[in-house]
Amino acid sequence: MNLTQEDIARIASLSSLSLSQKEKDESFIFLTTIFSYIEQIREVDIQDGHATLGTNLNVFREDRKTRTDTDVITKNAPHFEEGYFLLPRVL
Amino acid sequence: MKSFITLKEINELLEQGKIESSEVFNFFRQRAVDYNSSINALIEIFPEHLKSSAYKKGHLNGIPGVLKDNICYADHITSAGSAMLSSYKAPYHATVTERILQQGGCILGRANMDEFAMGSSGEFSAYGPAKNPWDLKRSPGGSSSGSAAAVAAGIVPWALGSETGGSVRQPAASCGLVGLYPTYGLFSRYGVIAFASSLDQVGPLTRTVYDNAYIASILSGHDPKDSTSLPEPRRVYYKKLEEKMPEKIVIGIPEECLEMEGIHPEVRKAFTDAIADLERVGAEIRYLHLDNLKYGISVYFIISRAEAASNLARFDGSLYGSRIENSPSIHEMYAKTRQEKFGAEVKRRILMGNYVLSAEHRSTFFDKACYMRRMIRAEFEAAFKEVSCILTPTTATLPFTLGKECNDPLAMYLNDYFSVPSNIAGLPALAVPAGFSKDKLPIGIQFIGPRLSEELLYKVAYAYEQHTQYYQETPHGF
Repeated sequence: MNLTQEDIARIASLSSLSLSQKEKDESFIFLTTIFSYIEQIREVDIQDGHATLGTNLNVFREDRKTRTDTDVITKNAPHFEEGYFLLPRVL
Repeated sequence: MKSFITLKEINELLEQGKIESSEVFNFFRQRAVDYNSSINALIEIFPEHLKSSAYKKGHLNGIPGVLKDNICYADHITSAGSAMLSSYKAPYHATVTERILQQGGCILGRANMDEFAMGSSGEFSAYGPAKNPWDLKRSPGGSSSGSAAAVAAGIVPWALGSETGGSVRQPAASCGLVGLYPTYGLFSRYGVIAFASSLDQVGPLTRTVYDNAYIASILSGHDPKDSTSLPEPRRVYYKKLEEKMPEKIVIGIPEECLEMEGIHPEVRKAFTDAIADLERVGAEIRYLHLDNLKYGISVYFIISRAEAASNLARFDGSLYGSRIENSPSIHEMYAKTRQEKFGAEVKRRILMGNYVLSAEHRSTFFDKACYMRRMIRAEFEAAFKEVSCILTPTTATLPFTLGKECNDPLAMYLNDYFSVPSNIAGLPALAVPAGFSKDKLPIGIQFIGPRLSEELLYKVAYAYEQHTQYYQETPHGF
């Protein structure tokens, strides 16, 4: 596995992070160190046995309104006016 | 009241009518005011001054503690140690907060932490690092840095932390405390700001095993608001603790712990001393191999970063939290806000998470890590057919020196070598003090047990603690 500077730029964009060049360079060094350590997982063979361990189940709850005091939520919004969250243009 | 009084001792004084709840609260609040500036354990000390009539009866009778700053306390700021949420007011109580308040607990303040619980030294907090009361040049560990430092300095008798990969137990070891990572799903995560949801759990930090079992009993029990909460009744762990080691306890010692490269000699010595002490108090010791222990860190890296990248996508400046203004488009607003309000470590973890989840790399990393997670869990399950619990050091090293290890990612992460396997397997692990280095720095060991074996872990740890009495030692200057 060879991480490249281009990978960092692409992943930063996917992550909605406008990293500075310095941060890109540092992240590259940091992640290269980590990926060279986790290379060790390659030595493990995948056997089917473990794939079936553990069971997941869905947990449901009744779908009903439990609170009506929406102001405690909207007070945390950077901009909220007349029932709407205000945002910059999407398009 | 004496400094470093335990929860149990305070409750006894309250029951005997020798002190009142208001005295207890004022005593600890004054300690917080006096000592917090030297250790930066609390980001905020709450101003409330309650009258005695307002103290609620219950298991905590007004006895104050602190919450890690990622645990919601309604109408109070809950920042997760981040500039992103610096003015975010929790709209509701976390279930663990609710349970503490129901039992008459008071919340004295919010405890410092690594940003979004990502770190092992507390140095990634947006509010400056907390310091270790045993040595102010050292870190109290992380990410529950402030919770541990506050209890170790006797500012409060209990604190709640949270753990994704050792973030309660490693600070417990660094500060000479008891810390629990419970069976995954034992304590509700409702109202706890998420880092990696398949690993995150709340855990209590206290000076003694009894006090820890006491808080754990309050927190336990099913919560319908958390879909990962186990359908288990509330448990009582503190009533059956005895000085005598329970009968027929077999403690497994992974040979890998003794052979590990990079383990500090004083940690190794404390660990082997603990094995001898446990044998002396009646436990049978059996050596075994956990071949997959060495993969713990890699599997943890991949799974925790992948889940972190997903969980932190919600912090984009639109609905709550901070926003950088004057962006021409929504996408620029997202990117500028996240760039400016997330710290360096959080950004690195998001990058790594999105990388291992990306289409080209997912099977190499994420799918493989999920497979290996089951493999690690299966190995533990097989071991527990032979032994009652497993003993390891809590950390491989002594507490970090502030400003040193945080620049060496691998040294920092390898410190979690012993703690992350139980997170990955969802198994309970209880960290307890195991003595001190020659420079009087705390060292810890941990007992890892099968799912829902907290009662057993508390019993074994209590017998060990009563024999060794390390909790009697307190740091100077507090």
